[in-house]
Parts: sequence; C-alpha cells; structure tokens
Amino acid sequence: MRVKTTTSDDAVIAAGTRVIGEIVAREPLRVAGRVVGAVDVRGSLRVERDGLVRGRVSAARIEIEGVVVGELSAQGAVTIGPRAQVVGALSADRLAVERGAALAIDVDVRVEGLAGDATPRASRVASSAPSSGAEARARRATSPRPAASSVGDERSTPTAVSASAHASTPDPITVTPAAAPTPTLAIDPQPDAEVPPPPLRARYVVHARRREGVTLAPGDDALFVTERPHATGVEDPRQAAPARTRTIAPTRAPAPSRMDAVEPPPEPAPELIPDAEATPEPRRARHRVVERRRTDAEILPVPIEASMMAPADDGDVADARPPPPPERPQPTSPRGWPTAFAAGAQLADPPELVPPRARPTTFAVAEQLAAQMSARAPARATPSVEPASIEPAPRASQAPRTSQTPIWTVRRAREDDVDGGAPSKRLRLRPRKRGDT
Amino acid sequence: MTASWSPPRGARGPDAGLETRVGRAMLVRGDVESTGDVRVFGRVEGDVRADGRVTIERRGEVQGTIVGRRVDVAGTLVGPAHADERIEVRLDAVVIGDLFAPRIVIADGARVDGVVHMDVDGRGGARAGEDDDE
Repeated sequence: MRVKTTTSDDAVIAAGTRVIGEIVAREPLRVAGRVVGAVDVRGSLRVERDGLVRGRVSAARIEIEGVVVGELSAQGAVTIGPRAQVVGALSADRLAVERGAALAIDVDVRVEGLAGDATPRASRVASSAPSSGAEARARRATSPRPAASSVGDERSTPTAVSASAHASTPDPITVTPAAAPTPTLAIDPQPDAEVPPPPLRARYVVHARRREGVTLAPGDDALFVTERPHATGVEDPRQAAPARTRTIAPTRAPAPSRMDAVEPPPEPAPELIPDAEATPEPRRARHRVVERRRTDAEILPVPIEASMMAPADDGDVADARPPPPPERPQPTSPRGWPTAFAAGAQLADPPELVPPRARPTTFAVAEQLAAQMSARAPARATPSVEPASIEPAPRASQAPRTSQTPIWTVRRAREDDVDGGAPSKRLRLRPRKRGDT
Repeated sequence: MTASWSPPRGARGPDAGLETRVGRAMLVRGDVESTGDVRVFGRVEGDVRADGRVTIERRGEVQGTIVGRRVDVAGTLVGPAHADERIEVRLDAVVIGDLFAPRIVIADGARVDGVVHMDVDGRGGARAGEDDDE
C-alpha cells in the first residue's frame, strides 16, 4: 500500500517546500511539504507526517499521515494514519482510519443492500443514492460543510461501510453487518420543515477522534468511521439529528490471532502403558506409576512394598508400576512439534493421573522408594535399579530433594480392581482399607 | 518572499533535507518555493525559488523564473535565472532568458537566447522579485 520512495525519479514535495498551485502527476507523489492547491495524481499519493495539502485531492490511492484540508476522492483506498488530520469531504471505495486520527470529514456513501437487515430499509437507503459522481459533487458544493472543530465525539461505535460515491453508475454499495449485534442502518431524513426531502444520498459527517482504529486490507469492502447522519441543507448536523451509531463489521473474516497461528493444538494426556514384566497378569495391573519427568529420562522398574505406601483416604493401596517401555514414541503434535510433555515442561496437573491430595504423600513415598531401592537393589532378583540412573523430574513445586531422588506419583487403583483382584505376589501388595495404619 | 516562509518546526523527519523532485510525469502549475534543493524532471509552469540548488534535468522544463544558490540547466528554461553562486548551462540545454550570476558556464552545444549578467559583487545580479530589467 505504501508508495515506493526509493526511486530517484519519484515525485517528492520535500519538507521545506511549498507549492502554490496545481499539481498534476501521472506517477506516485509523496508530499512532505506543503501544497496549496489541487493535487491530481493518477497513482498513489502519500502525505507524509509533516505534509500538508490544502485543496482538492484526487488520486488512485491516498495515504495520509499529515494534514489534508479539502475534498479527497480516491478510486481505491484511503488510509488515514494515526496522526493524520483530515478536514473536508471524502469519497473512496475503501477507507481505513487508524487510531488517533482526527477527522472532520463529510463522507458520501450510497447504500443499497444490507445483508441480514430488513429489505425495505435497505431499499430506502438505496433510493437516496446519487445517480452520478457529478451530481454528488454538485450537491457537495451547494451543501454546507460541517464544522471541523468537533473531533471529540466518542460515543459512536466503529462502522463499516463500503462507499463508492464517485461511481458514475448507481452501483450498489455493499454493507455487511457484523454477526452480532445487528446494525441499525436507518438513514432517516431529518424531520425538519426547512430541510428538503431526504437527500439523494446518505451523508455522514464524521466527528470523531478515533481510539480504536482498524486497518483494512486490500479487498476489504469496509469503511470504519464514526458517523453522524444529517440531511443536506442543515447548518449544524449535530443539531439536526442525533448521532447514529452503527456497528458494521468488515466483510473480511477476522484474521487468526498470533497465538492461534503458533500454538499447536492441545495434546492429549500421555498414555501410560502398564509394564508387563512387573505385572505378569494383566488383571492385577491395578496400580500404575505416573511420573512427571522428562521424556529422555529412563524409567526403570522399581520394586515397591505395601508398607511403603501411604494410606489413602478410601483405604486403597497405592502401588508402583514400572514406566512404559523405552520403545514408546514420544508424544508429538500432528505437526511434528514436541508437545509440552515431551519438551519437559510441567504438566498442568492432570486430575486423572495425580490427585492433588495424594501428591505430598506420594512424594514422600517416592523418596522412601528411592532410598530402599538403592539399599536392596543388589540382593533382589528383580532387575537391579541404579539410583543414579533415575533422573529426577524438575518439579519446582515439590519439597526440597536431592538430585538422586526420583519423583513418583502413584495413582490409586479402582475399587473393583483392589477388591476383586489379588495383590501381586511379586510386589507383595495388599489393599488397605480406610482406617488401616 | 522566499525568506518569509520557513519550514514547519516538525520538518525534521526522514524527509528533512531531501530535495524536491518534480517527476517526469508531473506538472506544476504554480510557484515552487523550497528551503532545500529542487530538481525538475517534469514541467513547472511558474517560478522556482530555492535556497539551495535548482536543477532542470534533461527532459525537464521550467517556464518561469528560477532563483537559487546554484542553477543547473540541462533541459529547457523559459525565463530568467538568478543564482548566488553559479549558473551552468549544460549540453543540449535550452535557455530562453537572461542569466544572472557571478559565475556562468555555458557548455558547448547549449543554446542560450538572452543576456548574461555577471555581477561583480557576488550576488549574481538582481534577485527575482526585485526590480530589474525584466
């Protein structure tokens, strides 16, 4: 959208330059100085931050960062920057007003169809559209121009209107309302006897200092203005009609946010695979050990005794199960990114895995497990466990621990598993009931 | 007249100090006043006054008075030229008007139809806007 300014042949009215007269350019023009007179540019016109144009401005595209006083007409889009000041009339197919711009402009729009709104209302608005651009300009010349001093009205809401006031044919103007709320595009004439019948076009006087700016992309049929409708011939539009606020969203679908574009889809909780070696009988695999760990941490089978288990509230016995086999693939997202679990990040307390009430107790059990494991490992027939081979998981919320202490969380078994099945002989587990010590 | 107008105080941005360029496909019907340099690639139907250097490029044309610290003409100038330092008329340039400068260079092949005024006080003769023989 920006006019290229690197070519040496581009026309530039530099800062410190004043042109008193008419400028006709068939190439892009950039104004950083002052121009007092009409500016007709076939290409793009950019008024820089220190630029000032006082006169009629016509260009294919207009980008304003400075001050423009006069009529603006663009075949394409008009972009008004955050520090721009525009006073006068404006007609364009698209208009983008950024936050902070001071506007006192008269926008001529023609509205024929309004999606989602009542048809009679839309047709009524359409009937008041001008038939040609010359007629519109003639009306603009005869109608009084609103005062340019009031720029503080912030009661209005942004409005999206697609305007083509300079169209030679009565092309319809598409106005697409937002999904909710439904805009009220009632352009009623001013009930004043002195005022002639409703104008042949919908006129809006913009008195607003934008606080919420919207930048439209090419192709968006939307105009974001804060408007105040009035009828032709009214001296003061603020006295003629109250401000009508409309909220019409642009036709463009909202672009996905940055987080939506970057954040991978939520990953399911990592699946825990029971260890067949520690529990030869699948039915007796009642207890499983879930560890918050890094995925590269090697988990070895750890023998556990029932006496080491902390009593649960319901009397169930917490048991330890070896971790999943090493050939288990790391959980990854559909895009191949490592999930938070695979990256070693803290899991968000999956309630199905670690009851919050059991965490302190199980952590203590884990410490005891580590201590006994290191003491009994040489004498046991089960695969020996080297305490140093167990990498503790980084858990900042846990109690202080040594680097050799693994972190285990024991999930309680279900009631039917505990009651119906026999404890593992190998692990010598027995269920505990509530109240057992 | 040029000294009566000064650039705005905010004119210290990236465009400050850049020269004004009248593009090849650009027409200015009016006067151009600048505190910097002016280069004319297109057409100016009016006076050009600059505190810096005024250059009429090869296909440029100015129909009016040129006033500057230094004036270079490679295109067409229809009107007088006043320079504080120097006026140079380059090859294939066409000047129809008087030249006022302490130093004037007219290249071989240039066409000058006017009177050359070389003031000895270094002012380059009467400035535009003053009462001169124009």
